[in-house]
This record gives sequence, structure tokens and C-alpha cells, in this order.
Amino acid sequence: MIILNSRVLRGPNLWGRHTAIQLLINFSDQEFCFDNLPGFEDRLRERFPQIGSFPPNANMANALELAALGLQAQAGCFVTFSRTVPTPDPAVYQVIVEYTEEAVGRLALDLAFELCVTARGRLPFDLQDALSRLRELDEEIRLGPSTGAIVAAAVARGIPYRRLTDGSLVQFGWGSKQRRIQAAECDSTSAIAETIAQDKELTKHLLDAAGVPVPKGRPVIDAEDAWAAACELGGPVVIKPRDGQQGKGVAANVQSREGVLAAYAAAHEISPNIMVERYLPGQDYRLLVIGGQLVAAARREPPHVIGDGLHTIQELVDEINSDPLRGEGHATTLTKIRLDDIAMATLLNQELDVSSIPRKGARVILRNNANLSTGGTATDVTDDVHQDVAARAVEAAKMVGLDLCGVDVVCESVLAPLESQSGGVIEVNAAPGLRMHLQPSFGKGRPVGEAIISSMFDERENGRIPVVAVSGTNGKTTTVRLIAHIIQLGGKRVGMTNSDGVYINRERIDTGDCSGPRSARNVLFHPDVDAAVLETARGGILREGLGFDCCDVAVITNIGMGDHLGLNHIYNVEELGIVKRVLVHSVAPHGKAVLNAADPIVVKMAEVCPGSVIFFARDSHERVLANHLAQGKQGVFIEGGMIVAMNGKKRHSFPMRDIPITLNGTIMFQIENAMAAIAAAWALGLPWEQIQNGLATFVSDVSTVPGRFNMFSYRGATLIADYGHNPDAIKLLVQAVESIPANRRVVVISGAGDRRDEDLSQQTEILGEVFDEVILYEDDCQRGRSDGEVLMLLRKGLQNASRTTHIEEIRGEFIAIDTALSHLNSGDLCLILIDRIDESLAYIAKRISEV
Amino acid sequence: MKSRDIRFLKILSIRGPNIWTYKPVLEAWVDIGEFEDYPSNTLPGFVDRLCEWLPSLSEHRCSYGEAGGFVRRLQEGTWIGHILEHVTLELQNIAGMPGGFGRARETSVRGVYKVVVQTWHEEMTRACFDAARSLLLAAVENTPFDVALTHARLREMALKYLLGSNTACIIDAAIAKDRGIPAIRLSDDNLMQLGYGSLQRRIWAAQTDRASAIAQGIARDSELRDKLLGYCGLPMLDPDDVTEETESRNHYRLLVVGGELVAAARIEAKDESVAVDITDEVHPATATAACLATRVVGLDIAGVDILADDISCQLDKQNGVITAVVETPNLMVHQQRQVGRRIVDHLFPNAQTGRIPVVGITGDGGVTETAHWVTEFLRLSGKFTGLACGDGLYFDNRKVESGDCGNWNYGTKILMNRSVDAAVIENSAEVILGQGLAYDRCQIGVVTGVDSEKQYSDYDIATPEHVFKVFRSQVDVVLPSGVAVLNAADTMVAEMAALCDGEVIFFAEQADIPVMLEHRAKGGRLVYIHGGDLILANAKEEVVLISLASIPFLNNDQSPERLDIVLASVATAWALGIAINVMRTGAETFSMN
Repeated sequence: MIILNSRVLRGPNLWGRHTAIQLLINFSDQEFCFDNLPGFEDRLRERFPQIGSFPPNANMANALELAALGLQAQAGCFVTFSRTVPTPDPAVYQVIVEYTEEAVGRLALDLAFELCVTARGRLPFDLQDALSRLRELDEEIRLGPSTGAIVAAAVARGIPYRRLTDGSLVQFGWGSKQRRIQAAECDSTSAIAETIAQDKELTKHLLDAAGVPVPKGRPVIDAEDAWAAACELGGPVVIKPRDGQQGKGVAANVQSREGVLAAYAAAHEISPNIMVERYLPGQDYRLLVIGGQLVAAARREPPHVIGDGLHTIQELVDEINSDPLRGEGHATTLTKIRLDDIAMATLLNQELDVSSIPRKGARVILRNNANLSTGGTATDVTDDVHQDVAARAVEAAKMVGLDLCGVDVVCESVLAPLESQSGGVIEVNAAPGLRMHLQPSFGKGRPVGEAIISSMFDERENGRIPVVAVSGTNGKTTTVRLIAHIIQLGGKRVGMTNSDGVYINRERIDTGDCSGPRSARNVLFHPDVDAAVLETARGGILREGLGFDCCDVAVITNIGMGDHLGLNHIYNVEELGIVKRVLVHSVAPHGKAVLNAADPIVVKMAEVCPGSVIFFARDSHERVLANHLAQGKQGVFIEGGMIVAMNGKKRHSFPMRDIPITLNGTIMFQIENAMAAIAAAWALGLPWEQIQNGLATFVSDVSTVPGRFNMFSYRGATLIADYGHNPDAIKLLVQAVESIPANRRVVVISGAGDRRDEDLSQQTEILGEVFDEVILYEDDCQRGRSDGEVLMLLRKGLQNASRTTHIEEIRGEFIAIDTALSHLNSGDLCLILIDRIDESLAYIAKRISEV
Repeated sequence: MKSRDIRFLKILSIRGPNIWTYKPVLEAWVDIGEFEDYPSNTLPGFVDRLCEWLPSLSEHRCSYGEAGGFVRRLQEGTWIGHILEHVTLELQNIAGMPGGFGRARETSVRGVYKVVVQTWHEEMTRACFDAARSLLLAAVENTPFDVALTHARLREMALKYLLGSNTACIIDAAIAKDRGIPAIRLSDDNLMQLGYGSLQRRIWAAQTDRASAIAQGIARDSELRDKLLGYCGLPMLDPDDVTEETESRNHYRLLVVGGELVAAARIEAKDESVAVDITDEVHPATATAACLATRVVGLDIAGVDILADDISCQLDKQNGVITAVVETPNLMVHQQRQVGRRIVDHLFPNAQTGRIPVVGITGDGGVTETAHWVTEFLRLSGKFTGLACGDGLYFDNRKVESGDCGNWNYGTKILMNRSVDAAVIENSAEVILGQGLAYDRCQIGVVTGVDSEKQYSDYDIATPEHVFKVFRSQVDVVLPSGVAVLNAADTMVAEMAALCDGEVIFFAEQADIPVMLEHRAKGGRLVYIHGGDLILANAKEEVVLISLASIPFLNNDQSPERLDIVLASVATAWALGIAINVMRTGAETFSMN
């Protein structure tokens, strides 16, 4: 088995919406089919009995697929999807396996390989070890319970999210509407407020000022001072670090001098700044305040055992810890009870030790601290909280300045006001753990994730900005720019990706081919983006999936004869259609797909669109469009010098004389681009006037659409520079060129080496019918072909040319341009098919300026 | 003369506006004993030694109003209490607290003086008092005194106790006359409250309460920060690319406040101690990039560090990079720019001052009832009102403490409470004398009436002139936009009208007494009783608010004391701009239970 390549599909992809790992594997014949491997399946099942059932004629690829899926499922990951897909090469298969955590998915595939190899080689496989490795890794990297609950609440509201780190930092929403959380802390959580909350003395001072009951007390400088403070307060005291966390070093209900000194020493281990305050009798409660409201409350009990008169404390603790709900860290509902020094000291206070056998029914406290992280339990009491107690908790949160916090209250009961029972607030916690409210040990779980999301996003808000995704063989860059231009006129800052860069509010922030998911994610991350228009090329879809979960509008300009065929196992236009269909499949239910009704491959995509469809075509009588319009659905077409948008009886017309890029309605491919853009803007619900204005003010020049039908004048001759590089594009250009009057026509062309032979020749074949002179050039970038090969293929296309009378071969793009320019006379037309867009356009501009 | 000594009898810590000044002071009662018979010019070598040890005393103007004035007084002969004031101030100056207020005044006891010195921190001023005493005694007795050590010790104390320079930079800009935003120190650290109650904001060094904790975490995590900045196309330093060449480039610090570049400096020394202001040279695209970086991280204020050859050129033209986004930038590198002011304007846009309506009420009699009634009016108008008065501390309808709470401590609690939309604070003469007012200025200052014969022996206040000085403090602090509500029937109170920076509303049972008539003639507002009705009058018109018979509070007791409470309360409500119908309802429903 040789892995030829491995891809991580992080967004919607060819196989669906699942995140998945896709492997391309070469199997040697003899190891491949189960039929050739006697007993293999049995050995596989011996090693991993839970592996799913195999299809008939199963092979090694199926084994790998189901093992990787099954291992993840057995380790507790919620995965269900996997596929094994043959390729034209009978030894090569694609194996696709869903994951919930990328690293867990990768490890599962590694272990699945190992499983298959050991089963084949009759070697041992340690299933338990494999599963525990997967579980541990999953627990380590998946979102913790607090963050996970918030993310789940966001997903339920349709709010997109993205993890920004391996930790708990998560982005919700997109662009200018994004918000962030980090565990139970949101981006509006003030750092100053957190600092205040960490300083218990300062917190108490502020709460006291706000009339919130707090235990009196003071900071102490040493152990003797701690004892002095305890004497001043009279009665039992609490000794704790001023800036502690999770109850570390806290000792409560200490009364004796020895107890105070010991507790001071323990607290001093954690922090040099120690507080002594009056011990409030009663139980520990945690009140969760979110956005000025009490959302949940829990009574927390310290870790304890109940005696049965038979077992030692050690045995009773072991018994409790054997509960599978108790884990080591924060990830499980409960945490194991530790019999550490603090527990020993607590026992000693009760004149007990771990070998003591408490009498039946005796309650033995193992720690004077009820945090879940030290083995405590939580009981939901949300519905019991007296309104005054809730009001004090909310005031405490407000006074400290935290919009999201856990208020620790000690009192006999939350059923009565604190003031009536000498209860008080002892602490305010930023980034509170939500576990005790989500899954309390006893009582109802509370939807606290939902409450946090509601405090960040208004009821009608989902954090999304309008997203338009555009794909197709030709015209996508102009369409993307035109749509962006129209949206911008409405005052929105548009983030745009295309094959020459990433643009934020007209400013280019990245260069190169940016039509993949990484650039899309960057645009959706950018804080200054109010709407996104994303060119979405097939490469990215195949490589990684989409950079977004769904879009408002998906535009497919055309598939035509296709481009880049033969690459990445895409051999024909049908397959190319399936790839681009992913985009249509990602349309939101309220969204729209803008589809070319004249392109049969594109038309078929309508079937998978979860939203509605706007078809466009030149001719309203074209069958698909005509049927669509007849049903009162939306369509865009040409009628008597107008582009018409029609929906039932409603129609709006755009005169083409007011759409400069169409050159008064003469350049057909620009008309199609304009139709697609009109449909997309219509789908977004933009006003007609804004759309019309956008069309009227959009100029196809070097600065707005570099390399897309840029027209220049040179010594009375017309120059057109274009990046067209496939037979469809050339056809459209030829059609446009034919509508422009010219004495002689000259074309400068090269070819990209990674295209199929027939595609290269076909381009010159088309050109030979309309151009008098063809200048072929070759540059350094031959994409894997040997010198002269591309020129040879281009020349081949010209063999039967009906019009071309002069052919020249040149090395170097600039020299080819020079040659063409030197041959031009006034009234001639020259089409320059440029390869390096920015450089060549700059060069042409330079040559024109020298005239 | 071995028994010559300076003894501190007591030191009052006066934390707010007081009879001496608007600023907090320590008032030391000093017994100078035999020095009463020995002014400075009679102590051999004393003045020379003093001037040698503290040469900067020559800057003190004292009563002559010019530098050197105090030294002249020393040479001509002045008393040791007065010298103690100047030396204490000078020690504070040397420790970093320049230009404080000072006074020395005799008391009715011979040899006992009140020495008053402005304080920034009580411990600090106490230490300066003690050091000044030791220094003076050493100078008198011609015994050695380690001046340098004293300075060093006090400077060290100042570092510990005083606000850090970044915090001070913002606070100074906030409390400056042209902004007039009040400030309360909330902790021994640099946590400061600006504004009062629900309109307050907090700062901690160059960090506002809007600085997001998550954003600060991102700013501190260079790997994460660079990743996020990279998503937005901002240029960063390639960690593999730290060569000597980059070391030789310029380090710039751009300060972004509220989405705008407010200052920029070229950092000349690693510890930021040397910086050159280049704010005006920053290329607009670079300023935009710095603002974007701040936004991407999620901060409202940040220092953006840039490594480049020339800040006046675009970053991408010179491989300029952002090397850090500093969440608590050092403002001292931008001293030429008013960055404190820019941060204050960011916290309080549109010239807001963070002030909630504060009503200060003082006088002899009826104050607590008036305070309750004013609170009721404010509550009826929808404001969450804090009340600190003679019978307790109240937040809205809730009594939080019982007993006398009309003092600095409880007043301050109200102003600290983030829920409070309006504050009503009672102040007795003793509070003004011994603690000062809880607020720097107030919207409304009410004086119900003064017993000018009353003596406050604990404070050595025995004459009507002194009593006047005590109560006028309440009128002195009324804002120019505020109102003093004064009892026109009380001659001493009526006299205070002239001291008010804002408007005056007089109240009295009779409208036809000269003070009332004159005030109305000048266009002033009046509240009085006529024909059994409570009348609100301005220059043009009179409005019957309510008949006295409809006021249950009076309950058939229309004694002058009761009527004064009604008049003062209604006048204050009017001064607060409370709607007439709300005033009427408040008058009809209020009772002391």
C-alpha cells in the first residue's frame, strides 16, 4: 500500500458537508482483494471485532476505510461517513473517512493501516491501546465542555464558527459581524474586570460599596498576622490566597490557632498574598450571570464519602472514583477525588485518616472546597434562587464589570435573601466553568451556551455577512468584480477573492491566485468586511473543500468545454460539473443559485440547490429558462438591446447601452457576465437603481479587471489584452473581436503546459479562422513540458487555418508583444493573450506611454 | 532650650473638598511649644542650614507672590508651624508631587497651629510631615541630617504609593479644567474610576475597561497574533529573518486609540527611554495598517511596533513589518503629544464628563428628610438613586446600611456604584470639617439653614465667620451648570448665593422678603408659599405646584421646620429639572416611611 497523496477536506466538498480525510492509495494486486487473502477478514475481526460489515467483493481499501471510521466511532467520536472510490487506474483507490478532529482522524487512519498490516501479517494488534490513544488525543484537542456548549449553541442558531487556535479561542460569525470567545469568556469581557475579580480583596471592597453582602476580613502579612486577623473577626475564618484559582490553597471553617497557622502555610504555597475573612456558615452556591441576568445556579458540595461501617475512607473513595463519569480533568462530568495532602489535613481536622472506617451514614468531608475540579459535585438550584439573591449576584457582576461570570455565594439557602441569613458573596469568577450547569451531578442541565450566544448575538442575528461565491470556466473574474462593485455602491465594504488576489474594500492585501478556501477564510476573518464575493476555483474545492459552510448566492457562469481537464482525476466536463456543483450545494436554504440556463452541465446543478434558482441565458425562449419563467420563477435574459430580469409578471430592464463593458451590447461574453452579476445582485435583494448604477460605472480596465478584455489604443490600432487560456475563452474573445471593425487582425498567444494537448491545439485552431497574423511565444514557465513542445502544439492547431497568413515563433512574452506592436498599422486590431498578467500589462502600458 | 519640640496632636485626613481647598488635604494640629517664642530669625544658623539643605525652598513664593518670598519670610522671622508647611510641601515636591496647596493657621490655643498640606496619598504626606519635623529640629539644633537619604526614601515611597506615570497621564488630562472629569482611586494599584456611578469608566495604566481580555491574550501570544494579522494581509517579521540588517532598521511605536493613530515615535533606546516624536511623518497607509492591526487583535488602545527604514513611506515598499501589538503601551514615549487627553476623549466622547446628577445637602435641621424627599423625586423620574444620609445608606428602594451614613465614606460608595444614575448625599458640618465632601463638584448644592451660633470645638470653629466658611464649601463646589438651592430666610445662607458658580434658587415661606424680591428681579427662580399653595416662580410667571393641604408629609403640622423641608425638597427637584407632574406626584405621595 502506497499513499499517493492525502488531503484534509475542511469544508463542504465533493462528498458532502462532513469534514473528512481523503487518501489516494496504490495497492499492489496480490494484497488487494479479500479473495486473495485467505482468512484476512477473520483476522481483521479478531483484532477489531466492532469493525463494520463489508460490501460484497470487499478489498483492502474497504478494510482501511471501515477500520478508520470504526476506530474513531469506538473512541467516542461522532463520525458516520466513509467511502471507497475506484479510479481509472485499477490499483488506485480513493478512501474518504469523516473526522471530527483532524488529528484524531489522521491517527485513526494510521492505526487502521497498522490494523490491516497486522491482520495480514498475523501479527498482534493492541486494540485497547489504540482506542485509548484516540480517546486521549480527542479529549486533548476537542473543545472543552464549556466552549463546546457555546459552539453547539451557535451552530444551532446558524452562526458560523472557526477555531482560531488549537485551544479554546473561537471566532463566531464573519467579517465585521464576528465575535470571539475563549472558553466561557467573550471578547467583550474586560481585562480590567478580570484583574479585579482575581483580587478578592479589591472585589470585596467594590461589592461592599455596591451594597452586596460580603464577608468581612483583611489581607495578612504572615502566619501570626493571620491568627491576629482571625481573633479580630472572632469565630471561624476562611484563609485563602488573594489571587487563587479553582480553590487552590483555600481552607474554610478554621478556628484553632494551629488550624490557622497550618492553613496559612498551605495558602502561602499558592501565593504570597493571603486573605483572612469571616467564615460564612452554609453551603456553597455558584450563580452564573450572563449579560445582566441570572442564568443558572448550582449548589456545590465538597468531595465527601458516606460511611457504611465496613469500608475505609480509602476504599470508599476508590469506589466513588470507579464511576466512569469521573475523569482526571475538566473534560468529564465529574472529576476523581484526590486523597492528597489537603484531603489528609481535612481528615486530620476530623481526627480521621484514610484507613478510618466511618460509621454507617457518617458524612466525611474530604476537602473544604466544592470545586468540581477537586472532586466536588453540583446540584442545579436555578429555579430556587430568591429574586433578591439573584439581584445581588447581578449587581456583583456589574460592579466588577464582568458581562459573563460566576458569582460564588455562601448561605444556608438561596430561597431567602442573603441579608436575612448572614450569607454573602465570597468571590466573582471570570471565565466560569459551565460544566456544573450543563451537566450537574444532580438536577436539570441549563442551556447556558445558548444564553451566552444570546448575549453576543441579537435574536435575529447570526453573525453572517452576505457571501456570494462564483465559479465557472470563463467570466468568473469579471463577474466577481462586477458583483463586488455593485455591492460596494451600497456603502458596504466588500472582501473579494479572485485569481489575482484578495481585495478588502478595493485595497489589494494579497496577490497571486487567491481563489481557494484559505483566501476565502481570510476574507471572512477580516474585521473590515461587510460582504464577501469569492471566486471559488475547482482546485481548492478538490484540495480542501470550501472555505465557508454556506453562501447566500452561488454563481456558476458556465462549464462549456471545461478547463484544466485531466488534472486531479477530473477527466471530463461532467466530472468538472460535479466539482463545481459543491458550490451550488452550499447555497443556504434562503439563498439562491445563479445558473447559466444555456449550459447543460450547469443546468443540472439546479437539482442539488437547497435554495431557489435564478437562471440566465441570452434567449428567453431557451427551453430551461422558458420553463423556469413560465413557473413564475426568476430569470435574466436579453431582449431588444436590454438585459431583462423577470419574475412572474414583474420585470426590470437594463439597457445595454448603459452597460459600458458590453460595448453597446456587442461583446457577448461581457453581456453574459453582466447577466450573471445582475442575477447575483438581485438574489441579494439589492435595489434596481444600485444595480443599474453599478453596471453603468463599472469599467473593464487594467485597474479594475486586469487581464480581462482590457482595451488600449496604440498608434491608431486597437489592442486588447486578455488572460484567456482555454478554448471556450478563445471562442468568446474571437466572437467579441469579430464585432470590432479592423483592417488586419494580429494575435499573440502562448499556452499553459499543464493543459491537455488537444486543448492547446484547439485554441489556435479557433484563432486561425479570424486572425491574419499569429505570433506564438513560449516563456520559461512551461509547467512540466519540454522546450518547444507547447509551440509545436500551437502550430499544429494552425495547420488548416483559413485566414492566418503569417505565423511567427518568439521566445519571451515581452519580445512577442514588441514584435506584434511593430507589425501594427493604424486601424489594425491586436489581441494579446497575456500569461503573466501584472508584468505584461505594465509592459504594454509602458510601450503605449512611449508613443 | 532642651524642651523645644514640634508635636503632632492629631492629623485629620480630609479626603474631599473642604474649608481650605477643593483638593484632599491632611490637616495636622501641631503644638510648637516654646517655638512660639522663637520665630525663625531668632534661631542661630537655622535659616542658613534650612536653605542649604533644601535649596529649592528659594522657589517658594509664599505671601510675597514671587520666588524667594518664603526665604524672605524666613529671614524676617516666621513661626515654625508655617515653616513646617513649606518644608512638607517641598519634600512632597522633591518626591514627585509638585505644587501643592498649603496653609498654616493659629488656633485659639497658644502655640497650636493647624498646618494644612495637600495630599496625593495619606501615607506619603504623613511621612513628609514626619521628615519635615525631623529636618527642622535638626536644623534648629544644628545636628546632622541626611537630606539625600530622606529624599531617596520619600521618592521610593512615592513610587510605591503614587499612581504610575501612564495612569497619571490619563488622570491628569481627565481632571484638568478643560475636561473636568472626576476621578476616584479604587485600589492601591493603578485602578482608577473616571466619572461617577453609572456613567463611570475605569482605567488601569493605559488600559481601559473596554480592553478585552481575549484581545490582550492575542496581543501577548506572538505566534497567534502574527497568524491573525497575516490573515488580514499585514506584514510581519519572518522569525527566520532576524538578521543584523533588521537590527539596523528603525523601531517605531504607533499609538492607536479608538481606531485612530494619535501619536508615533521612533524608539531610540530599547527600554523606550529615548523616543523622537514622528507623528506627523507617518504614511497614511502605515497609519491605516496600525489601526487595522489593533482592530484585528481586538483592542481599543494599543501600541503597534513597526520595524522599517522610513516611516514616511509605505511599509510594503521597504519590507516594513509589524513586530508587536502592545496591549498596555507606555504613554511616556509620546510626551510631546497630548495622548492622555486623546484617551480621555476616547473614553468620554462628545465632551461628556461622566457626571451623574449629584445632590449635596447640608445645613442644621431637616437635611435627612430633604435628602429622602429629593431621592423620591429622582426615583419617580426613573433614576436608580443612591442616598447616603443621616439614617442610612440606600440604593434605590433598598436600605443597605442603618445609622448615620451621611459622610465621605458612604458618599463615595454611592459614587462608585455602577448602578447609580443619581446621588443624594447629606453632609454635616463635622463631615465637611473632618472628612471633606465625597464629590469634587456637584450638580445641586442645598443649604437648608445654618445655626450660626453653633460651635464645633473639636475643630476649633467658634465664630459665625468660621461657621459660614464650613457651610459655604457646599456652595463652592456647585458646577457652573449646576444650581445652589438656598434658604433665603436664613441670612447667612442667603449670603452664600454670591459664591455659587452656577444658578441659585431661593426658597422661603415668604416671597416678599428683600432677598427673594431682588433675586426674582434679576431673573432668578424662587419657591415659596402663597395662600396655602406651594409656588414655583421665575421672572415671568408663577406656577402653583400643589396646595399645602395635599401634602401628606405636613400632616397638619405646618411648622416653619416642616415647611422648610417641603420648600427645600421641591426647590431641589425643580433645580434637577424634574417634570412638574412628577414633582406634583412626589409631593402628594411622599412620606418618611
